[in-house]
Amino acid sequence: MLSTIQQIWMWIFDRFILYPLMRWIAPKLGVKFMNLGYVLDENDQKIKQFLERIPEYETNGPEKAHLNLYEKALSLHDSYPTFENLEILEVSCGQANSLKWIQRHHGPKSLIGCDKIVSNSKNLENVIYGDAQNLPFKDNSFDIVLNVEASHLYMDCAKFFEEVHRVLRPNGYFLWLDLRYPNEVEILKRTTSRAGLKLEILNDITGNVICGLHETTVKYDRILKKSPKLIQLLFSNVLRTTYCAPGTQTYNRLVKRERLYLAGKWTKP
Amino acid sequence: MKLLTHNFVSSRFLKDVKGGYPLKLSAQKIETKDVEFNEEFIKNIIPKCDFSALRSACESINEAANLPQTLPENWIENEELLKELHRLLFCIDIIEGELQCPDTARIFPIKQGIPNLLVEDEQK
Repeated sequence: MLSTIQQIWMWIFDRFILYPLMRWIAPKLGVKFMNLGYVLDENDQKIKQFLERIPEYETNGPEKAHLNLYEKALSLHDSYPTFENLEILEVSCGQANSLKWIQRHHGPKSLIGCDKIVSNSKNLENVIYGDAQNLPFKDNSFDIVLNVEASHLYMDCAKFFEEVHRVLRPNGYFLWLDLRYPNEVEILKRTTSRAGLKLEILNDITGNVICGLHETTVKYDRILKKSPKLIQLLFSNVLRTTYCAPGTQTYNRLVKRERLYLAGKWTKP
Repeated sequence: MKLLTHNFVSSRFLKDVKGGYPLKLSAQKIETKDVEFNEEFIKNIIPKCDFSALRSACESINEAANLPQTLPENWIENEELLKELHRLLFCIDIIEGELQCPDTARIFPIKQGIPNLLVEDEQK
């Protein structure tokens, strides 16, 4: 019973309190990305080789795990790491720091970000306020639609997948990373298939993400300790649960694989 | 908002709107930035652009003087035109203005360079 109440509270907290709030205050707290992070392993040679050539990557310190997650998503595409002639849309781009990184290092012809709330919005030339379930773009517009750790918060994910299919060009790719409960994996496959998307890759990357959040948690905990005492008192537990800090229930679920972190690639035939 | 972004944006998500493209542009504040000209880049992007939507956007902000009515067949060899297309697509930044749905006349504001295409649930 307590667990159910806790789950409902987390659902409400994530959607209506944490993410809208964080989008506004994250830049002030020095949070550039809001994802759990990823640690590269021996299967990620392509990503490692690419990142070794980028001096800026090493200067990112604790942000590296967040960037790794983006690189993991992009690496699912055959053209990785160069997207010079492609047009990319990132749905739920958050603070748009991912857009800046991708534009600098992967050089797509055009890169647009779309989100309901974009904090730190100064000097952004390629961001639009829009709804993932009603994408404000014409049909057949993009070669890649990118979506990282966001779709579990959407009210209607099936509608989002239909929209992804609509705005993708034929033979375009949908690169997706997110959390799912094991019983939701079949629903994911079914809804994307119904939307007209053809699944090419769906990998379980939970282990790498658990390693990643060991790195990102250190940073988040440090930020939490610097925040006002009232915030710590009211939200410390629920915040640590959201970023899956070791010892929390959400962390344990990942460790027990009661919740999975998946990386998928679909194409629009 | 750059005019390249305008070329992608549509209001077809609105209730009963099938087209919603191109959105009519009006601008109160425009900035022009220097962006390095890359000939190959512009040659790659033009075939994927909707020229007529670009032209109408340029007309609405009085920037279409050097843009032909239609894209000439030899555009790829016309360096002057390529440079103008580069200027229009990448250098012009709409800071304050509006986008209007061509079907419903609904207005979407552009503030601090970011167009807002969010609507209430009953309008989707």
